[in-house]
Amino acid sequence: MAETLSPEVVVVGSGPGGALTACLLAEAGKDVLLVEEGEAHSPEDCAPFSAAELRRKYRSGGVTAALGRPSIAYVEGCCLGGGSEVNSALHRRPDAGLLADWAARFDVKAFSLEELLPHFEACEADLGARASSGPAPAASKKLAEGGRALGLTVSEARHLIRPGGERQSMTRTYIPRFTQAGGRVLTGTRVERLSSWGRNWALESSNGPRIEARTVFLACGAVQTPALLRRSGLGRPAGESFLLHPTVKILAVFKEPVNPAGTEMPALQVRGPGGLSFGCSVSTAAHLALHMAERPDDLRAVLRSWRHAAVYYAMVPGSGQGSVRPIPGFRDPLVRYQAGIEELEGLEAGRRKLSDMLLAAGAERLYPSTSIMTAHLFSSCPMGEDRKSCPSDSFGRLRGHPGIHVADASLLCGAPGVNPQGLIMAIVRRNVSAFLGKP
Amino acid sequence: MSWLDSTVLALVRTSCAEAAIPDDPALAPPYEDAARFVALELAGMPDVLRLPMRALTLVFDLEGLVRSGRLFHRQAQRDRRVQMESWRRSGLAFKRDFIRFYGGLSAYALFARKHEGLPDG
Repeated sequence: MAETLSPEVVVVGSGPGGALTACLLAEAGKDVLLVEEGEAHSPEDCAPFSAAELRRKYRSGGVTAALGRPSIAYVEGCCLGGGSEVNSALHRRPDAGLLADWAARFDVKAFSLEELLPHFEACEADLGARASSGPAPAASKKLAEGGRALGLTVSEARHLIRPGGERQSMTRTYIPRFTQAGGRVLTGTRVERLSSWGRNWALESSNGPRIEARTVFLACGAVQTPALLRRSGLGRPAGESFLLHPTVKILAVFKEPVNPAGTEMPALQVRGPGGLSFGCSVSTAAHLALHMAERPDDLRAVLRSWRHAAVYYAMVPGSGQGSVRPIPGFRDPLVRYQAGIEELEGLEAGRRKLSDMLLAAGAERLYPSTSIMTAHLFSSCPMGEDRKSCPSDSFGRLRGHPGIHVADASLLCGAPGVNPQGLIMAIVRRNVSAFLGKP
Repeated sequence: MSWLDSTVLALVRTSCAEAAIPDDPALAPPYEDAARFVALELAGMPDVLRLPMRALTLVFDLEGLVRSGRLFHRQAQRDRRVQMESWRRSGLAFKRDFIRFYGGLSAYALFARKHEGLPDG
């Protein structure tokens, strides 16, 4: 007979939501098992933003898309530590107005910035969120210069990076704390289905042991969490309100070098009208080549002097209609996203504004990409008391299925318009505190 | 080598030759390592995307028969470039996306090979 594990709590997914949840519960004395579909990798396994990282730490090798007109390419981490192992490690708090808007529209209880503040502060302290200690990278300075020339607001996101450049990902922060507190980690295990088993939930995987637990926290991300719920016949509205941050990119070539390494963390960001935000993207030679493949005639010229080139993005808060639905017989869910007219117009305005900024900063040539992509996915299981649109309640408890909690980006009620990791972690910390009966 | 692998290799070889800087030995052929990287990326795609992409790859290869009497992967490099360029400039989005997929990943793999090395598996 196959092995059965019976922890008190099982957390599925080890990204920022799952790792934080598992750590807090283990430190509170719970018997916790953290299950991760991807594998554990040592920091030396692959360089940040490299082809090796793409293959080993991203879901589907980084080649995934939400189908629509136009389709939108997206990326998700799939390794121990999840997205925190591969993202830009930038941290921002959202505007108080945004949270108030979500609280009103979705009837979310105890959801003001003041109520979330202690949770932001605790996570920021744990992760060592800090302002940049040195001068901004040259490519980032160019963006700021252009933004100021156009009268836009320039600000700096906080870094989740140790002095010396080490990313403060989950495998360097909460997961070691979790194991020190007695938590167990099971990697390389994909949970296929959840089912009710007496007073417990049973978790079945195709490649791991059967797991039975009274309490389950789902933190598989905004695509995999609703997909798992729906494969399990739980939470029909889950996955019906999937959102993302549509992003367009422009490669700019400058007279002087702006890109010494291609992997610097660019923290300067520019805010524009209509929720537009602008920043720098990863600009290794390989990423520049990927961008320029749409223009093979110019690719060689750009790559010959690639240190003079950098990729920039313009991002709008998603307001379209997206869904995540499993397809019988298929391993992966069907992810769809239809951007609205306003959103597409916003992206076009963002592309124009970004071009103006880069030209104002001295760019000699610009190469916009025609494709749309994103690394920010959320809102597929929003929280709130509005039963019609919220599969989970104000504290992430899945409605109608006691013992199941959602603890990831799925909970966001809408598009935050900023790097979402900080907000996800603050919400998750608040929800776990409520679960533990802490103020 | 399977029909699909032969077509992927031909697409990657043509894309890499188009992207490579002529006087840079690190970007010179052979491109089998880049093709292996692209083939693994294709194999790892979500099944809802992978199956149509595989089918389209074979359709693209077959179109060579109609255009020049030879499957794409059996054509000379110059003829391959002409066929790829016709899809790149097509009014049909799926054809442009197809070329962007192979052209983008090939160029990515080529320059990753030079600057950071390609992963084994």
